[in-house]
Amino acid sequence: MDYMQPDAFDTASSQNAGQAAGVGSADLENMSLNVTGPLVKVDDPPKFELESYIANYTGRTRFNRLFLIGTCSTYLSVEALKAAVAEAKSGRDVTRYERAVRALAEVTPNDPEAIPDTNWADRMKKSVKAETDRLEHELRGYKNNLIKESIRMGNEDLGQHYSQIGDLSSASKAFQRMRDFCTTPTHIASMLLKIINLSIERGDWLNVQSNVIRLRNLQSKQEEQAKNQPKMSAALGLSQLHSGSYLDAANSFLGTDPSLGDSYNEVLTSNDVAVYGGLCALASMDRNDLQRRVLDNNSFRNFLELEPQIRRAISFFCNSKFRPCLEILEAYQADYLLDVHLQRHVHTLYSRIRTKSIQQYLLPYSRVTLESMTKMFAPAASALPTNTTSPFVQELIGLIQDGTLDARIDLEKNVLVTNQVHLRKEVQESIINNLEEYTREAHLRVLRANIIQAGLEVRADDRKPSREERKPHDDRGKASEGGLWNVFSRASGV
Amino acid sequence: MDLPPLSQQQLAAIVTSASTPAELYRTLSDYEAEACLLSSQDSNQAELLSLYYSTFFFSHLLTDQIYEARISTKRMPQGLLQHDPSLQNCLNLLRAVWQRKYEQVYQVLRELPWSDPLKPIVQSYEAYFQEKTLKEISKAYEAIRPAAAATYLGLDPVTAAQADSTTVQKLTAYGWTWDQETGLLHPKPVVEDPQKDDRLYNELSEVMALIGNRRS
Amino acid sequence: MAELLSHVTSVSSRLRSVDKISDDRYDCQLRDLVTYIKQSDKNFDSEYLLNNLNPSHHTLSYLLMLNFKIKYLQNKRRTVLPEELKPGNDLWVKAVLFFRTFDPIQVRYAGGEWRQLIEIIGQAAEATAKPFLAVQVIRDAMLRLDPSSGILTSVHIIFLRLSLLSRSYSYALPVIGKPVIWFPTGSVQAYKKYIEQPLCSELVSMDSLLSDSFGFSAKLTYRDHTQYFLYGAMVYMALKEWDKSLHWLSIVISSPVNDSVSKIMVEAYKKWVLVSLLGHGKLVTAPKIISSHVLKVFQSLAKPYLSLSEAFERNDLQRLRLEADVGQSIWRHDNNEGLVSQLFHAHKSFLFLKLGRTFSALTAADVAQQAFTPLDSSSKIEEFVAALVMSGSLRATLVHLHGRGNGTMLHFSRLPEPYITRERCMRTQLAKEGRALEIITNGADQCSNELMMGNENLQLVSKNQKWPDTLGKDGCNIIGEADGGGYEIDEDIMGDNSK
Repeated sequence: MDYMQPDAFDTASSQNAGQAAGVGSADLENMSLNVTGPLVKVDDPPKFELESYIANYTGRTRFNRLFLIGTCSTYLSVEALKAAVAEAKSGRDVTRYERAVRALAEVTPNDPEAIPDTNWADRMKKSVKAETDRLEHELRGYKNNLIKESIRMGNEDLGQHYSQIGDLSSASKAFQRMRDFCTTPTHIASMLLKIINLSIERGDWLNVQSNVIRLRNLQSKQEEQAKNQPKMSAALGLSQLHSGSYLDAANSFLGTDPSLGDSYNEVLTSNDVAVYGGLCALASMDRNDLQRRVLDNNSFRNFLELEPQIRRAISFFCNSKFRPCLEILEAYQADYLLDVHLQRHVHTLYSRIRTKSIQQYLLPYSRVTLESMTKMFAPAASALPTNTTSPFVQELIGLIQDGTLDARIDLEKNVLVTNQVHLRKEVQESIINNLEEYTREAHLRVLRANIIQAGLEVRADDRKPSREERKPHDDRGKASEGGLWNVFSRASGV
Repeated sequence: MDLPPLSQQQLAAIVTSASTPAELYRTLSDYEAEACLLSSQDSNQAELLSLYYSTFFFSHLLTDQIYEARISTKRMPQGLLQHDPSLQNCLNLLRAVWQRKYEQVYQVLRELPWSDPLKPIVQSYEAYFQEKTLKEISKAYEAIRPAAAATYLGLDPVTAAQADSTTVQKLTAYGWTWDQETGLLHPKPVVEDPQKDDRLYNELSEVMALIGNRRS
Repeated sequence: MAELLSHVTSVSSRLRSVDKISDDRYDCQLRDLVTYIKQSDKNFDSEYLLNNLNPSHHTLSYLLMLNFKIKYLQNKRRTVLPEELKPGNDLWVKAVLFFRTFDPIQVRYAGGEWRQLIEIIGQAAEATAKPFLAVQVIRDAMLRLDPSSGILTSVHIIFLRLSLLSRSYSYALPVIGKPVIWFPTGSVQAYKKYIEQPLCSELVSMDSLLSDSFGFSAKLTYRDHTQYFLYGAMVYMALKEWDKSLHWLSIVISSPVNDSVSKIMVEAYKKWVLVSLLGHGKLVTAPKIISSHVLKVFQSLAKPYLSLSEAFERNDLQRLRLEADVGQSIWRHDNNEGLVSQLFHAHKSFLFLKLGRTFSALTAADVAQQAFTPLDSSSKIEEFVAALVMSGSLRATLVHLHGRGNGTMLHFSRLPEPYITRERCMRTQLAKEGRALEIITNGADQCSNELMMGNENLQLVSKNQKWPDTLGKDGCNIIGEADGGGYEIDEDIMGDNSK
């Protein structure tokens, strides 16, 4: 039994890896390569103001966020893409500049800014090339001299440079190479953080998780650990969010220390932690847990204060006021759809929250009119008649059929009836079923034992025990082919 | 042990003497081997065979063995089945009953030419079918339009649709209620008393004991 | 001739019950009788003897005589089936009479002849295209010999084949309704020698009688048992008893395999897929004891069936039709056309069961929208539902509505039936399951005893234990159970094994 376990574990984890990597690469890299174009189009204006929003971030995430908003929001596209062009031009990554210009040209072909500045691009390419050569050369020099610290710094500089010009895989390789030359825990921690940030940008969520764990297990000083904790939790939360384990993600975000502040702006802000954590919790926890672990959580309160609407939505949910809760979420949907990390998960998170609301709503009733439910959960459809054509009723049907709701729809009285349990009947039925099951299984097993004992196992056809035994059976088989098997042709209709 | 030889008189005697359909079925199925030995080529024997198989077929229907009835038609000499009018009628009836085409069932039973020796059993099947259907609709319907009920029961749906008093009276006699206002009949379910079996009580405790033994 | 007659009638089952002679003596008498008849001059007038023997009292003599006569005629006419044996003729009638009335104790001394007679009856019936005639006879004979019918013999297979051929499915039920648990083993377990009883004793269990070389069964091969269970499943299919059919098919597909699966098993798997859909509306999980590689072989060989079942499970009526049409030639080739054509009706019925879990009340028009193509008119749907409800396969009621055109409301009741009905029904079911369980557990107990007392286990035990030390404890227990005797049998067992 024992030797089975590592095997099973391996396959499970490798599957996981495949999934996570798949999700990851479909996520950010797809976006940064812009092969298929944005999947989501957001027509509603978001509540935030672009300039102040983007001012919260630093580093490469600024461009990624701007570009996503520019390509997804019809309302902000020009403004965001122009900002993205400017952002790219202030850096050294020529490809992303070209991408931004191309995207802008698609939206406003005639805008002067939509014409690529080839002059700048060529210049930048040359300078980048020279810089790369210089750094590589320097590193080679350090290696010859075998000075550990210099090699580490050389690699770090090179990695930094590659990440600036957008060659993320080379950057990651350079950072990985630092490992052998780190001499203090602080060095290792800073290297791991760099790898984590880079993996986040590449969408390699599995790598994020493994490096967070490495960082956590690092033997370093108390204050050092305390400094890194918020970033680790936030990064872990992000990776869990992206792999779809919302409860884990919620826990990670909830455990993020408020000292995070604006220290991690190259990845996310404290506002983001509040939103991600709040939504994940709302989608995965019951009312009790939400109250206890989110609303009454003193450290997370600091985050929630930044995004009061999340706080309100959660407390509405806890007080069974589902309509206002859902209304808040709907109002902010556009914002969340324009978030680089949330975009792909908004739909799933929202539908889970909605399903949970419907379940919680039904809990105290034995029957509820469809009308009142429509008012509560689909006010837009309340003018429509409550029959099977109504989209809300269709939604309920789906929920019942996939087993989420234990209820049935009565279209005569237009009510939703929760199923009553007939305990005695159920017990009796399950006894009969178990008994049948047991008898059948036992019969199969006894037969098997007896067949083996009688030496009657099925064996390959060419290994016949003896000739003369075979013949009569062959004849029998043939006869049956001809006559018997026809017994069932067209057995149904008369 | 030995049965009296199969003959038209013997068949008639069996039909009249059988006290229940189940008994009729049992007696007739004992004769199937003997029937199998008769030849459908001989015209006298063919006549006897036709009568025997038709009667046997009805004894299936009377005991509600519709699948068996269908299988029994496959065991008959197929040449006889194809050409004998009575057996062809049986096939038509089977088809209608199988597909639950109520109108056709009554039509076949009432309008097709059945031979004289078969008539009593055809009539008793009609009565049986009507009663069985009545039980079934009383369970299946909470409210039913008179015309629909009439179709199920082989009454005249046209007059029933006008809610004529005879149809309604006939049905209210079974305990159904008639709602003048809505023009609907409310059937009363016929509850059949399941046969009580004292043996079961003892056996149940044996089962429990057995389960107990297995556990330990 | 009269002398001969008096000799062969000297042993009679009736006399035995009157005289109460001991088993041993009766055993001797019967054995003597067999030797006497077999050695006697073959020129006696068997016609005369047969007419003067009573098959229920002088079963053994009658059977042997009948066999002599048949052999004689076979030699004389140079044919396997002499005219006299054809249904309705003299010898046929005699054989039928014999099988109806033979004495199950006496016949034990001539198992081979008994089986040969059955085989020839079956052949005669089949040759004259009247297999039906043999079905009842063979069935009664089997049940007379072994009322529990728990051991598979070659006669079982002949019997089921004839029942299928003659389409007398329900006639097979008394036999296949009893679970087969044992198979005749080629080798006799050594320990049985020590508990031997005279053959005529009431104590001799049927399974040891049929297991050993008494001739009641021809030697079976692995084909025979899979074929038997497949035939049985087909009988149940014809009677639309899907659950039972599924169980029998499970037996076939979970048969232990040495290295490869057989064609019969693959055919059974194909049918298993279809029956599972027809009976449960979905592909049920295969029995756990099938090893995964065997299952994979099945799956790769039955691909069209699996994609059919996928369409069925997804409630995709159009795809189901498409798949069924595309695979037409496959179904025909596998002789599964009938089963496939029944899928559509089953599919519709299961849709209603599903609707009943989603809705507690809806109109026929809603049903049309939910489950079917809009082309299905609501009156057609009502017809279909009414048929389902009235045949008892769907728990629901219909209500004709007043005023709203010709609408019909469908109520899916969740309320249990009246308490008393349900309880009684439940009790019957429990008792039925209990009986089945009892048979199986007895079988299992016996099987484990058999394994414990089997040559291999004893060999193992003797190897693992140091005899001088533990003989007093464990060794004694095992052997003690067998015959209540001491340990003097050890030597013999070892001796047997070494051979």
